[in-house]
Amino acid sequence: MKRLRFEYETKLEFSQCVTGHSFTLRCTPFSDGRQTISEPVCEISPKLGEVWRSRDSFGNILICGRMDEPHKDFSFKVSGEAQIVNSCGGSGAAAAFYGFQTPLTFPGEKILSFYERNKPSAADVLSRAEELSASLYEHMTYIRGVTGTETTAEQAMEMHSGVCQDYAHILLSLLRIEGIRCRYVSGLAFEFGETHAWVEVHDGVRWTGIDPTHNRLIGDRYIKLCHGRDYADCPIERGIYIGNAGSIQTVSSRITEI
Amino acid sequence: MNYMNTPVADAKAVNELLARYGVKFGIYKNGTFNEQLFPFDAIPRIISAEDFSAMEKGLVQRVDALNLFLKDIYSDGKIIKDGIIPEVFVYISKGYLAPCAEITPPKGIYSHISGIDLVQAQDGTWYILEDNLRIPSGASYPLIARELCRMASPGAFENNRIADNRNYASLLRSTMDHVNCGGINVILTPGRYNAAYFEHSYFAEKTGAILVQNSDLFVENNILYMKDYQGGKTRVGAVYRRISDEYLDPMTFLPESLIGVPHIMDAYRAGNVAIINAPGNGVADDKGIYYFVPKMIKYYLGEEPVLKNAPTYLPFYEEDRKYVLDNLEKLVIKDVSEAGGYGVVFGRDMTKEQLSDWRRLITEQSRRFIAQEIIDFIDLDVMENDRTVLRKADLRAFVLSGEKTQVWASGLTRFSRKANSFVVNSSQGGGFKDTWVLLPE
Ligand SMILES: Nc1ncnc2c1ncn2[C@@H]1O[C@H](COP(=O)(O)OP(=O)(O)O)[C@@H](O)[C@H]1O
Ligand SMILES: [Mg+2]
Repeated sequence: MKRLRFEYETKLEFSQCVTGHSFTLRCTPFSDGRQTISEPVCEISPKLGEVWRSRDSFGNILICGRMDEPHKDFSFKVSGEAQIVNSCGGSGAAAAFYGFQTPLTFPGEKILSFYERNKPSAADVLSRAEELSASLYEHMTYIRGVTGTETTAEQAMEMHSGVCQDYAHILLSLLRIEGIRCRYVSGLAFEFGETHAWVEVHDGVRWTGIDPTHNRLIGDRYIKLCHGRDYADCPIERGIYIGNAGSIQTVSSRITEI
Repeated sequence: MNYMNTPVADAKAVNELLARYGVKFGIYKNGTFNEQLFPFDAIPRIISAEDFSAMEKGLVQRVDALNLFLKDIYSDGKIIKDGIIPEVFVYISKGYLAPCAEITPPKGIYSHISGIDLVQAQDGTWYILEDNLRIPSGASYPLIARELCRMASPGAFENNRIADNRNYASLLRSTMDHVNCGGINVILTPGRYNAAYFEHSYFAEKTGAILVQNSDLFVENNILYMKDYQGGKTRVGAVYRRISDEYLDPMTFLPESLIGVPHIMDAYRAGNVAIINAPGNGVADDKGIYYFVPKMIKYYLGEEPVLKNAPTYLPFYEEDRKYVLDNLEKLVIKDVSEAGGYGVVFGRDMTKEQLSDWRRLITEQSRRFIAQEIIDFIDLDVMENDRTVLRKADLRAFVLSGEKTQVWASGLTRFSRKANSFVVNSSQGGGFKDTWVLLPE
């Protein structure tokens, strides 16, 4: 068991003032069988307009809001304490839709042939997932900037490179070929200064987190923020605004042991 | 009495009026948008009281089962667990929306307004061709046409025992009121450039709902409001939205949607507003799911289906696939992800080469297609250059689910304007007729 203190902040700087800004944030971690979150606080700036809470179908906590007044920057900061007990992501049934491909995970020729070459041999779900993760880890090279948030698993496989989001999407695609229910997770991990993505696999009883970017089960140094079938289901921040403005985003996170 | 000889308005005059009122619809062809008139034919389709009463039973039963199916799919999925429908048909359907899982809409109604397409075979049997549970359009056409005909020849309606179809507005209104969560009713339109804008404004006027665009609405604390000009806000309890699911809420669905209302899904999830029809209904009117509707009726209602499906085969099942491949030249093939008549092809129109291409495609992508026996449905008299010709016609019946499920005693009869063509869709150049349901003697 570990007790961690976390702090996570995203800042958006617009190139000019924007108005009519609506946003949904999935930045507030919630308790499950693995992590117990106490006193999470979310601060949003500037303090304009209304902010409220909601929930989505995947069980995530949403912070929703609207800022009609002009503003040139936007930031949200979450902090709190997490108690991590083991490497499992909580027990209970998994919704059936987690077993099916989405537009981002849909396998093409490249993924299907990779799967044919790397069929796992173990009998149980988790070991099969670990085998697939290991083959993937061997095959891929971690490179920033070659992929984006809309890159599909198949496209990343074709380039055999990408970042944690791409590793996660490919692993989801491979697991779903096997009919295994699995989900995409966004969160924080001890050694990274920003957000991370990994996969949770359901073995019929419980969820277990597996990090294909590092080819290991998630340990007690990971804090989950949200999950869904793929990245598109659960972006940490989604917003729309009026104004022909670009934006620069900076993300920072810090986890310390208590 | 021979109704065919009943004097009805001069179709030319009515068509001119329709054009003047802006009764149009839009079609996409080769990637460009064209607005076009939906030609009206003055000879009504007539449905006898007995025929209508049987049809009514069947339609109510079908829509009730479809509503139960939607409720089940977005909660426990019992029909899948019980092995009636393979789960793959549900979860890879484009219309299945995971963000709608575990949401129970107000009063548990998903499909408030259902447009069910039927055809009548030569022997008089009615067959269901398709269910439309998302935003079925077209009810305004027979309404307006009747209104115009009534002005032109009031006698035709006074002397004949024809069910008055003007109650559509009150049916629609009570459907909205029934699920309203507190607040006003609004009709959400993408705007005046939408080809169905006329229908949107027409229904708003007839039901007393307020016609709005997304910029008139906003969400705060999971409650939907309409802005008023004084800078105040009015709570909205029900939205009859005429924009499709993908565009409904840019915070949940397509982020690039410019016609949606941000956070409307949060208000809906919280039970603070009814969305008519419910998002996610596309999973139940998917052409692949159509095959299972008679099974749903038995499963949920314990009843035998009153109305028949066209005999349908799913190449997904090996036995069906074999039949389809062996009999392709006499079947209709439909792409499950298409609509508007675009994905419908007849085996008898194919060359040898095309047949073998289709056989390959069906074998490779067995979930993507369904096949049906061709129903030789009846032709109706249509006026063409001052003489009557026979043309294939179908019927879209409108079923409204509020406190109870009711069938509107009228409907949109669509006909093909090409001789021998079975495809009647307006997007394929079809026209329409009023539908007269006769009252019992
Ligand atoms: N089994 C069939 N037999 C004869 N005609 C058919 C059959 N199925 C479809 N059609 C014709 O094709 C049209 C379009 O088919 P439909 O299943 O309604 O698909 P869409 O979603 O494209 O409207 C129907 O309105 C009808 O005119
Ligand atoms: Mg149709």
